[in-house]
Amino acid sequence: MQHKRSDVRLWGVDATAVRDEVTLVAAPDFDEWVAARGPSLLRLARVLTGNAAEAEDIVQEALSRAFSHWSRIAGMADPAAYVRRMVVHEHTSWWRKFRRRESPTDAVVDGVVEDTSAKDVSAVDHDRIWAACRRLPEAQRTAVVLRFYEQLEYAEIAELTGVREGSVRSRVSRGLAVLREDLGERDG
Amino acid sequence: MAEPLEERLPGALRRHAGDDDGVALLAAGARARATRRARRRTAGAVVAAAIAVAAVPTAIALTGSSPTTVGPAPSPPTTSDGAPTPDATPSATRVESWRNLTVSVPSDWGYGGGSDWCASAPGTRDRPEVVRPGGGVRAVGCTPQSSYGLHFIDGSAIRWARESGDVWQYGWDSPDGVKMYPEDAWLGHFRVGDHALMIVTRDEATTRAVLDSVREVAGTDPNGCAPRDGEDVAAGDGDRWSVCRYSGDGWLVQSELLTAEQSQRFAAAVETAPPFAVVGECRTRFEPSGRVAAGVDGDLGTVSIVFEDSCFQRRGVFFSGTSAALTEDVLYWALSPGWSGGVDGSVPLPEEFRQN
Repeated sequence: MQHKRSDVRLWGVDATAVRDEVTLVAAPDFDEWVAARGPSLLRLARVLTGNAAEAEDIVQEALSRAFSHWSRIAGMADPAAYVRRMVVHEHTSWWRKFRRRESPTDAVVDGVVEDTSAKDVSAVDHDRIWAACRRLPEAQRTAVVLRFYEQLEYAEIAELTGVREGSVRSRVSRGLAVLREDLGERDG
Repeated sequence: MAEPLEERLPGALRRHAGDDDGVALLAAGARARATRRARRRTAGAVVAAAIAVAAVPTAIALTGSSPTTVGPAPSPPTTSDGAPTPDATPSATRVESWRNLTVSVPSDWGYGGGSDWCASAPGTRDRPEVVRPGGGVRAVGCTPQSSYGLHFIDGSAIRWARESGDVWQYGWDSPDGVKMYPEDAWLGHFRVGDHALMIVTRDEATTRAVLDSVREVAGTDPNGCAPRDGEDVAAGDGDRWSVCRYSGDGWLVQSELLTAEQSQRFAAAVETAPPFAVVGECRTRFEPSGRVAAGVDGDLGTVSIVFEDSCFQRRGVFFSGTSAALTEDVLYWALSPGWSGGVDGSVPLPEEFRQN
């Protein structure tokens, strides 16, 4: 049986939706969907926050709101993208930022020379990059994570975070510049 | 030579994204939170406030399509004889803004639609009110046509008889016979281009005090709202949300700065608004009718609330790429005290409106 595609317009976002004119498709069960998609959401939240406990809190909060409207979200063309957006929003929400009162040096090990002799070079480099990422200002870190971890285009990041594409590009560019400076690397 | 940072970043982030620990209880935890949230919403209640919403306008009395001289024929300003009888000398003021004008008025001034006061009961007519254009006034043949308070005026069709900054005492002996304000009221006038206001009080001191507070808004007004609609217009202040209402032509109509507690409740209302997907294109020929922009720190995503639009596809709550449906809770906070307007019957207006 064939489905017709029509444009379903989310404010500021163009998404495609399948109109179930012929075949009824059962909405995914919430628990099953979380079991399948939850890990990727949790990993995203971890790299966004740099904190495992806060990541779990953010994902649970987003999923709790998704659960309340699951019948509608499950019927969307891409529930995963929608819930991912809720996770990012939960991370950037002003009240969470207000409560967090994060500082640039939050949860960073400074001044400790780690014995890296047993680690391979790439692991050491990854650790340094990760530590530097965690020191980024939140807006820059969010943009960098969505660009380089989620591999999103600038326009997608703009729609996801509700800021202009130009601002996204600036945040990514500035974030990379700060990382290079922190890592003692030069541009180019 | 090391690979560029852009090529090493993905691997570094994936390595530290962690494993699947903590996933097992995600669904159960989400259900439990949703249940607790639902219980909190049922137990809590929106603060009830007795409020009267201004009537929908049926006629415009103040300005017309042809140039109109407002105010009495020029006469030498007079000072009051004897001890002045001021309107309640306030210990607190509040900010009222309209377009690029902002002014501080006594906090006990109410809100009105011009000569609505005329139809009100005796004893209630003396309370000064803040009046904005667009809500209009009912031309009921009231004398005088307007009462005490602050009147924001679109002066594009007005030939002013006074200069900006003038203060004078109003008399009913003007040649044109128009009895615009209470006799012997003290008037103060301010204008920037076509944006004007008139202050009407019982005493010269109060009129001058309010007039002295008038400012032309450059960046944002004291409530954190920009005079022109655009991105990041609601600046907020710390954890206090700005609530900025804009007309369809992009001008600021009204602004507010909520308390921290009010801001949290507004945020909660936005957070729990059910998501929705807009289907189809707007077919109306009418331009957007404006919106309420609310929040703090524009980079986090100003919340945009559209509820007066005739096109239902444009109505809703929009923030950070998320679209949500209008709810009574959201509109309770989005509708600043004194709001009046027309909405479609499907818009879920709250049963009671905020009074302050």
